[in-house]
Amino acid sequence: MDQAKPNSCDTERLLRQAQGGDGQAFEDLFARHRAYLRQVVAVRLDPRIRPRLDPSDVVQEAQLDAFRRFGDFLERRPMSFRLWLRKTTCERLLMLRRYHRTAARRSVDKEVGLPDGSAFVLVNQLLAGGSAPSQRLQRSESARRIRNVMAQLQEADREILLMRNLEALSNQEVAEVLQIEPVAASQRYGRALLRLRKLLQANGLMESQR
Amino acid sequence: MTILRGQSTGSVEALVGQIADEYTQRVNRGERPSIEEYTEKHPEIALILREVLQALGMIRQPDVEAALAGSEPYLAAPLGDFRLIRKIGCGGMGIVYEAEQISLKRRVAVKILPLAAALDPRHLQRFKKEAEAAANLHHEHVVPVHSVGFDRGIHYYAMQFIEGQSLAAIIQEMRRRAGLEPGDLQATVPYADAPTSADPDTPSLAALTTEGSIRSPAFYRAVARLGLEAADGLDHAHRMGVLHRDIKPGNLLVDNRCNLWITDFGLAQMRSDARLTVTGELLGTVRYMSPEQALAKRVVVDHRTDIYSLGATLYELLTLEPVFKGHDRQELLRQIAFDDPIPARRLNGRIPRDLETIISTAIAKAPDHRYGSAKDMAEDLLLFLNDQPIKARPEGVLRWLWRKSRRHAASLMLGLTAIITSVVLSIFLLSRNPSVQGLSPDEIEAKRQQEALEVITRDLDARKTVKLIGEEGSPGYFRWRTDDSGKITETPDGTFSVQHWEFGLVELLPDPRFPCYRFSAEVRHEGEPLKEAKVGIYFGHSELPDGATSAHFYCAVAFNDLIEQGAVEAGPDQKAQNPLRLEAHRQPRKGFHHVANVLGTNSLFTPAVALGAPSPWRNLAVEVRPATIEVFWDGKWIAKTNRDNLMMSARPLVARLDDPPTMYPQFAPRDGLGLFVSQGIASFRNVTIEPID
Repeated sequence: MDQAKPNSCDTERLLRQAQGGDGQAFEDLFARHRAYLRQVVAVRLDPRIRPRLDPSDVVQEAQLDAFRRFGDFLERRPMSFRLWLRKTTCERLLMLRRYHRTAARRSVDKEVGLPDGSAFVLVNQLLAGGSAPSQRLQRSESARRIRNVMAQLQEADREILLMRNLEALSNQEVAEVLQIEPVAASQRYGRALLRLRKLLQANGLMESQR
Repeated sequence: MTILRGQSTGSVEALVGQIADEYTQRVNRGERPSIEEYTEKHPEIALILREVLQALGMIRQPDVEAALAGSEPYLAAPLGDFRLIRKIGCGGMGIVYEAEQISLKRRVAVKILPLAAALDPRHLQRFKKEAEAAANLHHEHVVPVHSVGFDRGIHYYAMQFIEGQSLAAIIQEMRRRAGLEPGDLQATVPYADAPTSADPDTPSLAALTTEGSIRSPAFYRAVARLGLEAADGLDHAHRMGVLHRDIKPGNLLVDNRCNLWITDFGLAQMRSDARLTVTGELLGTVRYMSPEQALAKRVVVDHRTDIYSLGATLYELLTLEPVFKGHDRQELLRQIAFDDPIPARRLNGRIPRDLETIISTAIAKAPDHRYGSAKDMAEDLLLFLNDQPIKARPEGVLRWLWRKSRRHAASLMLGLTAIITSVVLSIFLLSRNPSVQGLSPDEIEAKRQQEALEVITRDLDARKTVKLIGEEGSPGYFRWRTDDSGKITETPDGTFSVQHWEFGLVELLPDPRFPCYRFSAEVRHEGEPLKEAKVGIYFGHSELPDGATSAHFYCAVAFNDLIEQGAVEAGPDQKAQNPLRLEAHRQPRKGFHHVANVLGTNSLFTPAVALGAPSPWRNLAVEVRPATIEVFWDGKWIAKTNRDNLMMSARPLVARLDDPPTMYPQFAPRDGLGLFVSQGIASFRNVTIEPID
């Protein structure tokens, strides 16, 4: 059984400095997690909203939220700092998503989507005229199709796959985020993988060995 | 599913989950575990396990992860007639993409306007009208707008693609080279991707920045020429009835042949209609607002607002500092509306005087004092470039005084009551001087104080030691910096005396002119023996607007000479407290005052005053340098501390949820200095300031 990653030594040191009144410490702490948070946001922004909302903007607003609640965090220490930031960021993302959907007055809902990088990748690769463009095109095409399969998964399944793999959270951390027992979290992970496998096969992206 | 016979779905999920968990963890640690290892260990589910782990491997391919993370800008389907290619920037009004216009096969820039979605139909109509008017502008210094459109729920604005940089990116890059902090421009750069994208190899940047420094004559000419082009473009727009309303470095592009282009015409109105702000964008937009924009709630502005903003942009290009540096919206708006900017030549003495005059005319507070039209400004810039005399005149002392006295009439009245005799005398003396005839008493007092301050400033600039208060009598220039509930008098022996029952600051100098100086004073503590009393001098005073009131930060060297006489009342613990202190004061708002004794309680000796003896004159001095502060008592060195220590002392002990920036003040040696009296009375004489190394 893996353990939730505790705060790293550095993080712990900075947290203590912050507790001692060092205003710069929060900045430093946040800077360490910015890239991670940006990624957390980027995978969860659907394409309709993406042109209106840049992941960095979400992270920036989340930073303000986190700063506001930082005193409370220091007092209670309910979870590791990284998970706490992740939670704060996801809450902000939810609010912004809701707002932008309403603002657009278009139903962006239902359609589960993940960002589509294909146009960009294609043009770029054509322009770059690299060593083996056809192979690269193929690769990016299959990447796009795999991404579409991910988009077809139910949100709960997709979430747990992203958390374990893209975000590299441990099972224990996922359990904390989902507020379930670690055993249940690992079972959910198994379920999500089984469903992913089925969808990949159904889309002809993977051979069935039966 | 024969292989699963005898096992419930749940237990298969659990087992697969358990194995995949371990497998994932190893991959996350950077290992490359083999699938076989696991299928051999679990033959009962070997087949399904192999497929699951393969599936896992597929979503972990770098390409797939990149696609999942959306790390590339995307936009699969075209937007109207435009196929977006790549994101080239992001600013207040939206994200800019390089794009191809499909029907014409030409390269364009498309700006996505997220705010438009929030407009109601009436405002949307107005935005469209404005954008169409902007699209009708045809001028060599205005970025042509191709179309304004709406598709897939997204409003956008397509314009000519300009290969180059915004002035914001250029200023940023120049600041970087000058070793300055980046400033807040990156939040407002709508065209250049990021500060780093200011590629020094692009000709526009090279022409401005690599050829020598911002102190070379060629640079001033380049700035004047860019200003001329912008003024020219503005003049065309104004004559077509189109205001820009949001001229700022981010909206002025410089192409690779060093031509200037104004962009984003017709967009500013949308923001005020949408009543929305985008994170990070606000300050950059406020910074270049004209005073009338900053003041008015319902903005009614004319073309001279653009002239102001262009002036503010050129000012920043010349000095690498914004006209006003406020760190939040409130502060900036107040500064724009009420504060006089630091003359550009004080920041960069090589700026030609005429160029400074052109810019200071453009950024005059009152629209009537600015250029009447962008054309007039363009003409003056052209005269400057041709080495001919310009038409604008530097602001005269009288006009300055007139403005000043009107603006500060209230605060001047306060000083006035205290020194009414000298004013009467002044009126008598000055009334014979024709230049001040017709001025009211407070205007004359303002002029007298201003002149005194000018003399002090001139002497300091010549690195002379200046006596702010002599052996007796009042200072030539002074004013209350905190509330005026105190009293200023001259004592029977003719010395300048200050009394205050809270925290009284009497400013003697708003700016010591040098970051290194020695500030000393003879101080006599008088009045009732109160244990809380403190008298002395202060320095490093800054005032920041904080909501409806002001937040003050300053440092004081102060003592209590009467404490021994009040020792009975003070109690035993009072003995341990040093009567001489170096304190950092932070007063975020009236009624709240944070005081920290920077030197601790044991580092200073205790001034002893025999019970009942008359208070002696004490000599207090500080030597202030950007990083250190040293304290002297009666000519003896007492203690030294550093700037960080000072600022740390002033901060709250624990960062609170909603701390405004005023809770974290910055010490600056060139902030104001003067006399400090708290809960007591003190006389002051022989107050001097001396620039040191």
